[in-house]
Amino acid sequence: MDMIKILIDAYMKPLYDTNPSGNLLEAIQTFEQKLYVYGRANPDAMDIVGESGNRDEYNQLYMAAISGGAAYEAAPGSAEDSGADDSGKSMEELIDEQIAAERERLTVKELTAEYRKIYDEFMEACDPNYEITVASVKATLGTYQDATCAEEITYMSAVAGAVCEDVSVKTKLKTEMVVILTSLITGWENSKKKIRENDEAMDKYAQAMVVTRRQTIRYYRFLTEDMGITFDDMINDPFSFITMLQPQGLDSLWRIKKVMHPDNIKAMRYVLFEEILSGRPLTDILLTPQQYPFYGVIDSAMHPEIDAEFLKAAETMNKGISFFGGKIETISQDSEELHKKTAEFIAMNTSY
Amino acid sequence: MAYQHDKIIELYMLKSENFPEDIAPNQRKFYREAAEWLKDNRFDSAEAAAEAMKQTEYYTGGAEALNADDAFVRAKAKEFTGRRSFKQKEAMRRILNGYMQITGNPQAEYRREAADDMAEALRWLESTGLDFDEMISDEAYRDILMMTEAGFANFIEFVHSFAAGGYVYDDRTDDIAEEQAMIAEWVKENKERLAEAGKSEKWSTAACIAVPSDDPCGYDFIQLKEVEQ
Repeated sequence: MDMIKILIDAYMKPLYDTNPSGNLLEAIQTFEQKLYVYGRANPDAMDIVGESGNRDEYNQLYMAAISGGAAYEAAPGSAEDSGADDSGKSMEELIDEQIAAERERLTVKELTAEYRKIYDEFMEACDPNYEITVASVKATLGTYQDATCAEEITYMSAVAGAVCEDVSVKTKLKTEMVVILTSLITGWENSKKKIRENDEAMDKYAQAMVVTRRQTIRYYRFLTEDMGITFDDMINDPFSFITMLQPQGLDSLWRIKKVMHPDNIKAMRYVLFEEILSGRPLTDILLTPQQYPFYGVIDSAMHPEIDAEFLKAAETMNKGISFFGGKIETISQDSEELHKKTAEFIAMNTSY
Repeated sequence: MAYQHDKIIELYMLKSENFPEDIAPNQRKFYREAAEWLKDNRFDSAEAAAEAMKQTEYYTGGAEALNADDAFVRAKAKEFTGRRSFKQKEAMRRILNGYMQITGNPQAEYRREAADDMAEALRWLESTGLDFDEMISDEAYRDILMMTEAGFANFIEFVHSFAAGGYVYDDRTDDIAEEQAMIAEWVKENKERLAEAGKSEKWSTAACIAVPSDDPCGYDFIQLKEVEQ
């Protein structure tokens, strides 16, 4: 996440929100560049305006911007202020526009409308169960749409930041919890298969099953007693359920996923309770055909045509969803910026 | 150019009213007071108004109020969210992850990696003057780490033991050695019976597409592909 850009955007937004033009706009843009030069050289700066010694200039630009540019002195050598901006509007018209905007709360309405539009587009394009992508967006864009002023968005954003951090921590822990359990079960399945195939190392696999049983008993005690989660809790939670099937995203938001055979959940349940935790002798387990088959993962290197077919199918299913289809009618630059920020949130929460 | 003094006052009053007291009190106050000042000081031109304003606190007051409100809402948010940083939360996650991996991960290398990461997170806490016991007593961490009361007690005991003695994984097999030897011998003696049991089982690989749906499990599964092994 580009923190310098986020900080500078926060400073510059109130200035650009006044729709500055002419010399004032030029001065604001030059000022913004100055902040970037300082920010890039000092990436840890939190108060870029203050630390760079530009507070007075910022204050002057801010006053000039909110008073419609009237208090801003024309740059040396430029045409004298005619009382009209580049659009040809008179100062009176500009002030009337600002009054109307304040009366109707247009700025915040436009802003929240954009947040709502992007949120709706995102929710249409995402998997609502997949906490990795969806939770942080709900905590951010999902709440901003109710803001009554820009400062409230700053507040919501600060609160949402903490919520996103918590979500990130919880999601990582939940994922690890599920992955360890499925690794233990699939390890047991693999040993059993090798033994039934009369693999050369079948005696070693048999010994490994004894160790796996002990590890699984210890880990399942950890899950149920320390974390308060049972296998059924996991499969009743859509995020954990799909994580157990080793998902791979078929689009940028992982709405459509390639997964293992869903019957593997039944097989995992059977193996965990009827075999590993049951206390039944291994000899009995090894001679009893499994009630539900466990399907392994298809080797993509051996069957690339399946991955290609799945990708094509996902593309077809996502057609018509504006987030994927390039049908997004961008209202303004802010809209594009929000898309970028949404992508950054997702990247932050999936980079592990 | 016609100067609209009353319209500037009206604009400032509207701006003041639009800033909620509990979110932007400084800007609300600034615009109200600036409007009052303009009411008391009438001018014939924008230049004259700007020039006179330069001599007052109202010239830079708007930006200062904006900065003050920014600090105000951030502090207000901190009151709500607490003073825990992401690095601190991550450190606690890494410590719990270490406990979880050491307890359950079947791969020795992953257990070792997680133990190293846990040790590093504990060292980081110490280097920043933070105390694990103090942090873990914070209710917020109890929520973030999602553990039960009994789980927290086990976790704390594990961390104390880890901090004192480092990574010790109990991989002794004395208690299961006899069972391992017996089963290793048994499978070699029962090859045919085992192969026979395996014949009636279906061993293949498969994949499909999961699409979010209203199904209770949250997904529809389509385009199932099965490849015989």
